[in-house]
Amino acid sequence: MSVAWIWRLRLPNQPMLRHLTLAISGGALLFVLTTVLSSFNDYQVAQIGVYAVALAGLTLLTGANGQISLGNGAFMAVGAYGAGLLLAHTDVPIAVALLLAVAVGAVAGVVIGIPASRLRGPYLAGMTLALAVGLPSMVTKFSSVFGGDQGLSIAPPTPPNGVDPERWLAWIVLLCVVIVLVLLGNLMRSRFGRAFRAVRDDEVAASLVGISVARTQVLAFAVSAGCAGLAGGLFGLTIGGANPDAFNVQLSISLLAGVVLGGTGSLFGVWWGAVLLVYVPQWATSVAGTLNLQTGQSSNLALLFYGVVLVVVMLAAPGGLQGGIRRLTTLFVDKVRAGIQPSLPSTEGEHT
Amino acid sequence: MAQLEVDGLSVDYGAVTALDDVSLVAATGEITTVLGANGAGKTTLLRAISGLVRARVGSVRLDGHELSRLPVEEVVRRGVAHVPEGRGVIEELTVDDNLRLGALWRRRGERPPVSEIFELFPLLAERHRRLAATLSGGERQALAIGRALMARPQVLLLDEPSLGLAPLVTAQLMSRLAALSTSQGLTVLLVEQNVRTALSIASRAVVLNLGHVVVDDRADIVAADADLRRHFLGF
Amino acid sequence: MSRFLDLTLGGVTYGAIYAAVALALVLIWRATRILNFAQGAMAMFSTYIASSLVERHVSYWVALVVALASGALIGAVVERVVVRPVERRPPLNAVIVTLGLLVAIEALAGIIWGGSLRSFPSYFSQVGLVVGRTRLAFSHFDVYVVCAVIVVLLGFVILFRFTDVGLRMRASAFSPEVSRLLGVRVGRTLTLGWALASMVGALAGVLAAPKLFLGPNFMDAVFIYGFTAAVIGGLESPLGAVIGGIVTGLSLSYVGGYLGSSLDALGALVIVMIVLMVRPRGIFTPIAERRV
Repeated sequence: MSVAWIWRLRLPNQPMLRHLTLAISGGALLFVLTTVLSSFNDYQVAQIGVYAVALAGLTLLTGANGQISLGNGAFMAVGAYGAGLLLAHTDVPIAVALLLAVAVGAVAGVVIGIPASRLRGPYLAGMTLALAVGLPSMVTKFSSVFGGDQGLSIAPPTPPNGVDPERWLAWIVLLCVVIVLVLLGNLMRSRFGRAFRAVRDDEVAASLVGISVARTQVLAFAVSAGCAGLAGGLFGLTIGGANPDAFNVQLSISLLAGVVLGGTGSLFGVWWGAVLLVYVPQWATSVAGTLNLQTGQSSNLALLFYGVVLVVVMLAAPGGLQGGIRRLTTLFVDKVRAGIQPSLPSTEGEHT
Repeated sequence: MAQLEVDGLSVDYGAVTALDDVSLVAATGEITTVLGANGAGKTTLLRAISGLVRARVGSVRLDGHELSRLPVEEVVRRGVAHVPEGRGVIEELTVDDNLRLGALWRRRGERPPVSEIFELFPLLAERHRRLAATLSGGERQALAIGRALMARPQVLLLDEPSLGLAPLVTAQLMSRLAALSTSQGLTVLLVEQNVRTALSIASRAVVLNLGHVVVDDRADIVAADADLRRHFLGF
Repeated sequence: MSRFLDLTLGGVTYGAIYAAVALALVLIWRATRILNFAQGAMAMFSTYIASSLVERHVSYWVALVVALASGALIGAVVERVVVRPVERRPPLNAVIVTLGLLVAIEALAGIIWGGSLRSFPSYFSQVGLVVGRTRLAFSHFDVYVVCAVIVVLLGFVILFRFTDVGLRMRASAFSPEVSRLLGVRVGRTLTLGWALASMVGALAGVLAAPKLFLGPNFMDAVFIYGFTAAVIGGLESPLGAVIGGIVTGLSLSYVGGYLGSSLDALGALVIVMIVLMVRPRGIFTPIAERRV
């Protein structure tokens, strides 16, 4: 039986359909994983999803729009606390709380984005770094509202009958990831996305063709912060609470690392980055176990790994892992195709 | 002796060949001028000699010593001075500092010839404490050349020194250049768009077209050949 | 009134430390157009090296010299190995690289020396000086801190204005290609710039450690405030860095003193935002138009 038709599979050409296909296939894969694996791994899937949402927003901001933000961890905190406070004081469904998280994040994004839009390069990086360090301290200052160092506790969503709560949470998170990826994918293809990239590549030229640079920058910030807010809300649901330590500078740096490792500017690479961000600490913990290090050293090992990987990837593959893997995959597939079906005409079709 | 030999030099910028098998000799103490239309490869030639650009094949020799695989700083330390297109005056530094910079690598040994430079270019002497950013085009050219001379080079590569200068200033500059070459035995490789002036002070002329050498002859012969001038040089 | 005086004196001392960090950042920025996010971590590492010596009963001054030397070495190695490849690439690459270094160096310190805080000797007394009948919030140690930073600043001014090395460094920073055409070994000059900057960073670490206690993350806040200082002064100007340092130190001291100490970091954020809104490239940076 000929399997040649497999080689002819291509993604649909129409963008909306294509994004939907990609997002859903990614989500479906993980969905399958959750049904097959035990509930501990549902938790990991949820974590991956949370990071994926945050990374999607940051990919848009840094990859597509070129603004380096070291403060998206703070926006996650805003979303987490926003959703947490709403859920603690009212009886709204989870979806509403998550929408609030998006809204609060986006507003924070506008507030920070306006001054940030005037800054470039290291000045922007430094300002967002100050945000990452400074915002959590606000939580300790107003501890009556925010619960101080202990933080808030957030009840996990109640699943329908017969469904394991962790699985339910994982599905909710995955659904959010799919929605975010589709929306952002379309945004990146729209005139807003073109404006983002135009401003990234050459501001002066962009303004000469009528693009308002400041508005574009603020919009990118708002969208990215909205995603981070959503991720924060989901994060709060996943860990059952929100506290200042969870949203430290390390988180913001990890997010940027995830974007870089996934391949700056590529939404598909978001999955890669998210998986790495969840599995690296675990790998490090097991290594620390084998080496008989004290507790706490495993997190150091994870961080050491992050740091080294960041440096090595930037030196060796400035396009990020996604770019490198894409090239390798294309090479590999072309070779295989040539080997199995040398008579097949070579096509210009694209792998994404 | 300071003879510069270029032999079979080819330089690519990606898929574009900028220089193709270029050979020439710049004899000691003479001015050799390199002419040609825009894009002919003249600037690339100088950049390949000083090492800013790597050649694909070919060699550059100064008195028999191979220069082509050396980094830029080392080529300079062998006695080749390159005044680039646009002069490369460092605006944030003073005239004094720019000049001092030219001689830094020659720390040991003779004192740098600052006073000679000031004699050669009195305008620089007047403005020696000013920031280079405040200098006019002609003064910057003087500064760039003076700075290159501070290291007492054996070979001077000049890329379009007359660019943007008034005719009178250009004439003065060129005559000083000619005097310098004769008096100090300086070998000069002069890339110029101002063909008439260049031919008037040079001993030898090389004409490049699309990266190839099309003419390599005595300057007076080239100047007298009306067909050649019309064809390659536009007048 | 005396509270104000105490806060002012405290602000000046910390401000001097922030100024030192800012100087290091400005030096590296001017040389390679890179903001070294790992500066604080590198300083911390050098301070730990000094601390290990002190534990083995080596004298403070020898440990200080070793810290400075190790700072210089770390800076040189980092530039040559890790930063050189990204100097010509887009800025995001360098940001990620220095961030990666920051994370890696802090983690490495945690692995080598453990995460708990330890004390670091100050050599000079940290007890406030007595003037008349009042005890000031300014000790012999604080005098030493301020003097050390002033000496460093003067050293830089002399280095840049009057020495050949300084001229090479300035030229390499302004026009690397032209400098190469003048025989300047630009690569080595950049490495030297990083070495000097990291040496100053190490000094900041050694000066800060007695006050803040030594731990793998102890320079995080100092780096942020040093960066704040550099940004206020404009990354182009060493004098701006020092002025920025004093301003930052004083502002944070007053905010912490009058509004509550947990707000310092927020205070720094607000300062940075305000200054950058008015002058997006810092106060002392000349505004350069891009010609179209």
